[in-house]
Amino acid sequence: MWDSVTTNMILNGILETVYMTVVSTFFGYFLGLPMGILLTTSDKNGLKPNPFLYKVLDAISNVVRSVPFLILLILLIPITRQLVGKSYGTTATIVPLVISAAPYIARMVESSLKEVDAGVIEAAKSMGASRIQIVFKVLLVEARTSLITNATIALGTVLGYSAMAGTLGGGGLGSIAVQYGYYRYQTDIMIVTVILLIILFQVFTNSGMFIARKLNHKQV
Amino acid sequence: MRAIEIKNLSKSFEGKDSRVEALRNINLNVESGDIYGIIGMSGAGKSTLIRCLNYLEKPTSGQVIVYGKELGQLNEAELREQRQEISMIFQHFNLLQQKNVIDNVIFPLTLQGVKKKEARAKAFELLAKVGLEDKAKAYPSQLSGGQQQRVAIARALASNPKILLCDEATSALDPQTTASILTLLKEINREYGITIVLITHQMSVVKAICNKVAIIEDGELIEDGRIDEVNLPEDKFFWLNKENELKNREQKEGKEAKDYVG
Repeated sequence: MWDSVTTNMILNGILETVYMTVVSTFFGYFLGLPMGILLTTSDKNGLKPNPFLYKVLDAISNVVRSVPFLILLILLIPITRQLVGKSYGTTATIVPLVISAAPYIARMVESSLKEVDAGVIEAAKSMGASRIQIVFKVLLVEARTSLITNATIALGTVLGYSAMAGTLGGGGLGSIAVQYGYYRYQTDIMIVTVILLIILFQVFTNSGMFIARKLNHKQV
Repeated sequence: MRAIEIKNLSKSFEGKDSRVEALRNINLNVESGDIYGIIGMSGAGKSTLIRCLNYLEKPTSGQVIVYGKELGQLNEAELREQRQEISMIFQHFNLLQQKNVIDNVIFPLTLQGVKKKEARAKAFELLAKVGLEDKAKAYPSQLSGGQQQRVAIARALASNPKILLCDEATSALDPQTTASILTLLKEINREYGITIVLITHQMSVVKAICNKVAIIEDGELIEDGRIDEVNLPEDKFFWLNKENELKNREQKEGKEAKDYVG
């Protein structure tokens, strides 16, 4: 129904969207995972309570999360330009995506780690485990299922944000939906991109949940 | 030889505008090879006391001396090393849910950096000891309570401890399972010469395996000594409050008499 140029554009859009989503979530975890671990350990009932550190991380995470994504994207343009060399396109979009995803991820990591049974942590302490050992050999292992489930949610959210970034020259399926579907009234393209986004979301979610279930040994 | 010496130990918890004195001036000696029972009702402070013995709780004042080493004098690294000699088992077993049985038993050894192969051999030996060698690949959620406690015991023995602390280790188990776990503890005590300190609210547990006993009430040690010297009440409702005693007895007798161990 379309010429090969349009088809290629859409195929390319899928690749761009997957690229932005996966890379942003990865770097989001690169920042968010350590931040979530520190939020957990520095909390007043944590392994090494540190009210100052907790307050600082807590404030950073709340401030960033309260800025709407589109505003953050614009605010970060100077930084994006520094890091990537330009402020538009798929790679440039990764910068604001990472910055906005990281605090969410940190919060989700924190809540996953806090679900770990205090008794198991106490048992590890009684065996002479150090704090580092408790974090890496107990907390992250015991919270694995919850961490993966949350990573799946993060991936879905970043996918949604990447589409939003399309309105401001972000590239990917969101960009195509806005340019063709909205500005040029090509409803068919709009519908196809939306369906593709839904399919991508389903693929991410289902594969994440599948892995989480496979790795869970708590309930059989 | 003296395994544990508790001197003038007190512990209080500071709330925002309250102060709870959980333990007051406890003095207690545990000799090497003892099975020492500490009995008391919930809230008496026995959980806090047993946690002071490996410094999971730091006493507010007083000393805990384990084989000549005062725990309060140790720095963090030394304390962690010392804890490898003082193993602990718990009421709710506290196994790693995401690791299988053999990896749970290996866990304390990996913390110490023991080589994987060596650790596995040791772990299989211990699983055989507790009668679970066929469950090595199972996960804790697939095991019964008694089996989980056996895994916990195997895990506790992995680091060759001198002392085993049992925190209400049989309170979540039925009478038969309790009996089998107690038998296992006694065997361990005899074979490996491991000193056992256990806290419980079940009189029958103390009577079954302890050679010494201490009674703790309201954070204070009211009696202690050899099991045949201490005057242990026969009444199974000993721990009920006096005023509620009759009422509760009527309500619970039918059900609890059946549940009661021994």
